[in-house]
Amino acid sequence: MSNVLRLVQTEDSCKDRQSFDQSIDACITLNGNNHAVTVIDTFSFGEIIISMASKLSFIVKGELVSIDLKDPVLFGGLWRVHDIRENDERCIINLRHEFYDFAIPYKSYLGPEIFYKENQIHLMHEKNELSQHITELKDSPIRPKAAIKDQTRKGVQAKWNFSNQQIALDAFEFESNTPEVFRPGQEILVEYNFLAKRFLFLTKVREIDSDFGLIITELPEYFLTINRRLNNRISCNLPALDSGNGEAQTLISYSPKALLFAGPTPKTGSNIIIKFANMTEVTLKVKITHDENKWLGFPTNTRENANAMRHLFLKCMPDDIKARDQNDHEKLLGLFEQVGYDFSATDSKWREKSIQAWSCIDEEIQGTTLSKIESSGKYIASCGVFPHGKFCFGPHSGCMIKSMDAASGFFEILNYIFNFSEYFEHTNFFFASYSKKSKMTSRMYHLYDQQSNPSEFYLFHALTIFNNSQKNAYNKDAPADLRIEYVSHLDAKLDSFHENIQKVARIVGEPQDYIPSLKITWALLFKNQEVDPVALVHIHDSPAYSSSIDLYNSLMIWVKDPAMSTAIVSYLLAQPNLKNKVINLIEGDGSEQPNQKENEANSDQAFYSLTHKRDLNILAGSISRTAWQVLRKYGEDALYEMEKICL
Amino acid sequence: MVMHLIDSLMKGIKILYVDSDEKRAVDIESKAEGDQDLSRSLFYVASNSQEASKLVRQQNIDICIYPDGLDGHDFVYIQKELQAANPKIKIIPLIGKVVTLKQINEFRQSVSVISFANNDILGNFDAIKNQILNAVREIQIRQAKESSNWVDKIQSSLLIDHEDWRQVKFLSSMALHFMLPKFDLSAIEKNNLEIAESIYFPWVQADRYSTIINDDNILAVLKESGSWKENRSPQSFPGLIITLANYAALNFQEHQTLNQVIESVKTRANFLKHQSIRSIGQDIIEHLENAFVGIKQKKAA
Repeated sequence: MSNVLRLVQTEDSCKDRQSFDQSIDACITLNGNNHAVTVIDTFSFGEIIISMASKLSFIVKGELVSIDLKDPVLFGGLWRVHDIRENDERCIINLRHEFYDFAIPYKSYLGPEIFYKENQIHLMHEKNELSQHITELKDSPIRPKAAIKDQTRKGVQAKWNFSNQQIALDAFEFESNTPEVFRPGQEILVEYNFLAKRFLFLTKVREIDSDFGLIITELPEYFLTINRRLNNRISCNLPALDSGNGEAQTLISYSPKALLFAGPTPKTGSNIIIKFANMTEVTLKVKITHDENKWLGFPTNTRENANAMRHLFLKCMPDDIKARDQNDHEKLLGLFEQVGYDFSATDSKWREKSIQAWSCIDEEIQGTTLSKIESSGKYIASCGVFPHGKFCFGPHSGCMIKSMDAASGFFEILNYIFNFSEYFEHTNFFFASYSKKSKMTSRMYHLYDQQSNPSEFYLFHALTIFNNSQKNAYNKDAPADLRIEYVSHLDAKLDSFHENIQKVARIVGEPQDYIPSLKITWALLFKNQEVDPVALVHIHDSPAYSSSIDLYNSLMIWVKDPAMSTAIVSYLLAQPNLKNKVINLIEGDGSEQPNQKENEANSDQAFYSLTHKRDLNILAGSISRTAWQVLRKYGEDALYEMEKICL
Repeated sequence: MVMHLIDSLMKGIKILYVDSDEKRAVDIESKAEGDQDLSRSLFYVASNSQEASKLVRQQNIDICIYPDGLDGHDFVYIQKELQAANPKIKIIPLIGKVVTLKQINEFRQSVSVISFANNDILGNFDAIKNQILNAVREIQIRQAKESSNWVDKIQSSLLIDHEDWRQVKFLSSMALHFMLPKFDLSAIEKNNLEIAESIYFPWVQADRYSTIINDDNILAVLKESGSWKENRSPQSFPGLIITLANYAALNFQEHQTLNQVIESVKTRANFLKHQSIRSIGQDIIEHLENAFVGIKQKKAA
């Protein structure tokens, strides 16, 4: 995907129509069939124009089609056929977003890019959903600030006001220092942020109450909600140098998609290289000038640039978030011990091995673990991230002590972790494993399931077995009727597995080469001389304790028939090269939790999830909501932390 | 168009569920957070008695549901621990089939025990939720009963030299009773408001209430009340609503109409001047007037 296309994802991209000079390959899905199309215009609000080789007679006006661009980050969702025109050889179709009619009144307030990303925009109009939202706002200890604008987009800052304690609300109230700028009957837009979402509604001023400084509005019929951009900008102040002309620059804000500089603006469209002090250089394409002294640069999409951007990202972190390095190994181990990631009882060399593994990985790729540090210097929360395979990346070793600051820090780190999807070229999925004992993760995924509609999402249940206990139920003679076959590629033998397992196996199974010491291999297990495998085994190798529970020295075993689980696990553990591995057992299609054995002392119920990159902003929203639920239980002490997360 | 808030019964009520099985506790917690009936409460979990006591103390837990035998202690022992952490806590012990007479006696004497259930409901979210909802209703009933004695005594002593106010107080409690369902108040908040209203008199200075009662929640309502005798403006919605109930009752007693009240609400007289006055429309006042007339006619009959 060309670099230029990324522009449509930036805030001000719509201003730069001329730069959108390339057509985009996409496909539309109608009645389950995919058809290749070319997107030729995306800059009309809520509309896109596509071109097809020939008219397909079954496409009729008013019909809803699903559209999917090759780069899934850009387009998606349902679009309605609005108009069909035929040229000599091509058929031009004008599509309108499914929410077009609802969104069109907001045209002067929103850019067209809100329609491009699937799951970005949502219509909130059902009574229950609206009352739940308003109740939540009312109960929140943090009252969102709203921007109230007239049609010229001028307006005031106001705060939601719920001093009207009636159960049945027939108006909304906002507190403002200057309510008089509006007059009754005036049409206004109300806009505010809450829990990682932007809310907008158009309404009319019902009354101005100067006595109490209130703007009272009519109730709207619906709200538009827009998921926040995933990669929030981080403010920074780093010196840089334009190597093209030798001029000094200052990087003032960072996001993986765009860098904002203060300094002389290079010529629009030029490729420039910025050298950062003590850092790798970053190649940028200059696109948009904000004003005389600020300009935006968009990183070019090369692997070297991705690495440089990641270094830069780590430099831009707030002072109390730190990427792991050799100076903090002991402190990090201290945190691990405190939260129960301590394996010294079963492995006396646990600490040394952990440090060795971390040193090795940090040499290969820097910054795969971020930690939150208290003002005393103590590490209170931490989370790592690895590219699991070529197509997926995900968190590991997440932990925090039980305190409000740690909880807040942990959620902050999780949001930064999402940035890593931008630094690994092919990663399209966020792959995460969670212990079911974990309050936070259970809550996060419970919300994610309930309150959103992820476009591509796989969840499967697993039993994690730590094979370092003599009491292990599987430590017995290996069954003689099984044989193992190591395979270099996943091939047609997967066909006999459940469809979802095949999809997941192909997503998580492709080896990555960012961290050479993390390796993935595959094996199939057969019964006697049968042709169809009874289990698929995903073998992770890495330096011991590279992650907290040694997840990267593990076997992920996909067992077709749950009745064979014990035999298969026992067989695998009898293999000399596999006997020390942590085991993740998944049975059938992964929809049922494998049973824990009665005498199994060292196992943990877990679940795995694969979230498509385009849905990460929904997951980020779910994290915010989870953080809100955790923090609000700390009462008034958590107000500042909640404000950071909720608004 | 009108938008209704989610049911207020559980608003802001802090519940603690204790279960030694941590995974089960987490599961119940996540279900409670996603449940419409409990979504307005704050639901905490703990897996041992030490953690439970700490939460009860720090978070001022209202209701605690816990199993007999937690950490090897019987439910009476844990009940004492929780009461030590917060004397006002209401508890729902989950007990086994075998209970000693001594335990039952201890249990009966305790004002904290709001109800009890069999410990086989541990981990059963629906059963636990029912216990909690029933407990909240029970708290409301019991609190009203328990408070009536001492509230009556305080009221009587404040009515000395103000005998004419006896009928006013009857009407003001009715006014509050008619208004409360329209507002977003939890069961416990409603109770506190009703008790505070009984003790409210416009000639009592706000600061003096602390010499009359020592319940912080009720005291807060009274201290935030307004007064037309003292030209004091209310500082909160509960403060406004008890002032208004009394002012309306007095006006009806004196004039048999609420015209003066409507006027005071419209002009936002200082003793009613609080942002929440916006929620008091002419319809509410007329509704009150009709109710007062009805009561009067019933009494006359």
